[in-house]
Amino acid sequence: METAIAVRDLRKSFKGHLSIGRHPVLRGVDLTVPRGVIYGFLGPNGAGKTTTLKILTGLLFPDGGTVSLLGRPLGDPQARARLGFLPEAPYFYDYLTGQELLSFLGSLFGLDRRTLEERSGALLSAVGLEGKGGLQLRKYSKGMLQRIGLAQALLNDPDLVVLDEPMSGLDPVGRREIRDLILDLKAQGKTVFFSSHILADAEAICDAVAILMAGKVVREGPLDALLGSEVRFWDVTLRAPEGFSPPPEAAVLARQGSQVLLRVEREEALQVLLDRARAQGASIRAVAPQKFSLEDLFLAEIPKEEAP
Amino acid sequence: MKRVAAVLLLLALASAVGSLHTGLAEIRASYPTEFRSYYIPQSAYLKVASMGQRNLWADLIFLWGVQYFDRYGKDVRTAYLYHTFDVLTDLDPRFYEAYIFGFLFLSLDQAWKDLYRLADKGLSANPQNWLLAWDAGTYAFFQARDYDRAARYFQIAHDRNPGETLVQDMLANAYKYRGDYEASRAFWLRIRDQFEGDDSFRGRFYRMAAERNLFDLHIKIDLKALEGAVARYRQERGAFPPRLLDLVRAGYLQALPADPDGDPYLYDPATGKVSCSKPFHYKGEYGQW
Amino acid sequence: MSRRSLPGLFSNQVWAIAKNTFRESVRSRVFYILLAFAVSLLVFSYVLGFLAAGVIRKMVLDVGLSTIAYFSALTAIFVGIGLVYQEVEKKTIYNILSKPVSRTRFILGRYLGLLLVLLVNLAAMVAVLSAVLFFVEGFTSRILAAASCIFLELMVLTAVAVFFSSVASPVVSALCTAAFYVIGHTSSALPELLLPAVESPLARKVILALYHLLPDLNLLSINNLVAHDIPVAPGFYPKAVAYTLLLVGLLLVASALSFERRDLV
Repeated sequence: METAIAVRDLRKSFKGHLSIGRHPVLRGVDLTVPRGVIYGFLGPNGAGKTTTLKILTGLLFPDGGTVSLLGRPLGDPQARARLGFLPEAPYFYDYLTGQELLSFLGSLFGLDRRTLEERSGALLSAVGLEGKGGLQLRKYSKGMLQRIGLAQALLNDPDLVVLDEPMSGLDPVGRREIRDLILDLKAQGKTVFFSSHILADAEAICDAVAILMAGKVVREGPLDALLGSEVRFWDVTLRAPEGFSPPPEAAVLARQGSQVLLRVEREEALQVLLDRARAQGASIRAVAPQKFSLEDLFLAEIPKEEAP
Repeated sequence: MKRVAAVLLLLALASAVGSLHTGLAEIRASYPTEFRSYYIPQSAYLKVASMGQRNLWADLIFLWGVQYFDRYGKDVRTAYLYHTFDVLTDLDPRFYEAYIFGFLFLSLDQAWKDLYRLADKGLSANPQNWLLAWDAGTYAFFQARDYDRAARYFQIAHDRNPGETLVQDMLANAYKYRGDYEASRAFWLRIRDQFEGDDSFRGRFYRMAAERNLFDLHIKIDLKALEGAVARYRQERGAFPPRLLDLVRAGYLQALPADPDGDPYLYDPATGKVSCSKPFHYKGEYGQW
Repeated sequence: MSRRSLPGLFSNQVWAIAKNTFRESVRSRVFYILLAFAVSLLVFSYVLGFLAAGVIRKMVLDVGLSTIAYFSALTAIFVGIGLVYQEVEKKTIYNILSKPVSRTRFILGRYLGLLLVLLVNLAAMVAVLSAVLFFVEGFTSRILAAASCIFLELMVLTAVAVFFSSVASPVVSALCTAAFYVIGHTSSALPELLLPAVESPLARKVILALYHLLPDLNLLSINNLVAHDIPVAPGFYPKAVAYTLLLVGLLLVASALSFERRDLV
């Protein structure tokens, strides 16, 4: 099949406080995740990302719309057999050891003992928990929990891996490792669907994204197409002598002592700035091209949604 | 410093509580005994409240009851005694020891009616138990001197355990005391035949008892018949017969009975009293034969 | 890659969840506290026996069997009420239900796991009671029969606890399951006490109908019979087992039904 996940007009609302009224969370979500890509599901907190993921994994039931996972409709247990899910800030039985957890969850797939042992061993090293399998989960740090969560999501060698905020609560080293793991999964031919509210992570590895705002997908598509490949502006950092005057097209963003941060939009303006810098004896510290970023895209969508 | 103060405060409070506790306990001890009793609810309530564990609650009430009534004695027995054992046996009708203790306590109070009520309850709930009937019978016989009842209970005991000679013995006695000489005699005959040829101590003991009783019953039966005839003669003729033989001649008796040794009975025509020449009367604790 | 097809996984999945439930419950403090209390009471029954003149054996049997009945019921309630609720609260259930495990199998697994725990609990208490009985020279193998009947009642009680656990918080579950226990043990009051006091035939019919609608757990108990050495009536065991299985079936189906379409927020 072509698509890993196909969602059409998904709707879900919850009962209001004290069962008064209904409070809509998803108002008609459409998205399509092709196979073999890394797909980012983005949006501010409260937009409905976790709700969508829970519907995908069968923990919640939609009010309307259609969802198909790996070509099968929701509720078909066969679909969940090829699915791996890492919930947000995962909770596990803390009296179990890492190894015991994997054995238990793996047995739910019907894996026999030998396969389970081999796989858990391999997965523990793959997520960087080699040797920690005998430790009780209550002793795991947040990062370790996230990793064992990922390991249990991969026990059945799934075709589709769904991750809810996989990078949350991790230090930069941890994030880097998870990012590399996700890239590795793609390299194995798997489809990865993850939600996040941290745009930088998504921007770094996603092939395609969908931005969810207030229960609807406002932007969806391959990242390149959404962002364009052109450079929008350059940020230039100079150490300039006293009395350095920038050219008219260069806007000064910040000045600290002799360090100056300037922004120019056109490539020609950049050349003019650099010439002037060299001419006036300023040293060039950094020249950073900025493409249209995801953050910009994001921020652009917010006023639209908030407008009545 | 604060910690020390807190600990001292705790100690002060604890001792205050302790002394109040003692004070309240003393107040309770000063009440008359019957107010110290615990209340046992109706058996209907307990049956429901015990939630299926009736035996357990029967046991607990039994434990409490035996200690309580033993200790506080007469002060409270009449008030709660029957009720307690009634509830107890409602909860567990087959609780043999409950009946036995109940009889004991009730007998101390001489509450015979209650004892019989408890006994009847126990007997209908335990159709195979003969010891209950035996126990109730002994209370009726020896303490209440209600020979009618005793006979009834011993009869039940005998029906349930026909082989027990002691029961037959007491049953025969009860009949005798009740005045059923014929029935009593039948039993003694049976007992005597049962131990025919048995030369063990028990065998000889019962044969002797049987002979003694049969001797006595023979006399009693004869005397009863004679007295009856004399009374009828007097009623119809207006005077006592001059001689016992006249009773036969006048047709009030078939033949003139003689005592077991063959000797005639003594008769006083002036008073109409008939008696036996043998000095074979047993006067003892249990009445006069 | 699993060699077995999903429907064939039924017993494996249910057993895996049951084993996990067992491990979890055996670590709960409540479990051990209750067991400790029960054991102390069982030993105490020996002391009680001394107070009672000549009825040690009956005392030990009565107190012993009642203790076992009460405490295993308490354990069933206290461990059972958290069974499904805690999973949802603590979100550990997400890891399980996102696998190809149906909610029904999850409920079944939790139920069986708790039954296993109760079985172990029961075995321990019966062992202690047997020891005390040996000590007072009153051992009877009939306590095993009595314990089996207690287990039947536990099967029903556990199913009730699982049912409430899947729809309500632990506090509410505890109250409702306890209410079921009380109703189950006092419904026999309807025909025994209420019926003789009522005269109108309509009222009598109503009372009898009500009685047959409510469960009567006293029917399953043979404690009183064992204490008095009265034999059990011939048709009893098959009927009692059938009654239990039907009640359990009813409750588990209800639990599964209510849980199948629940949103696990």
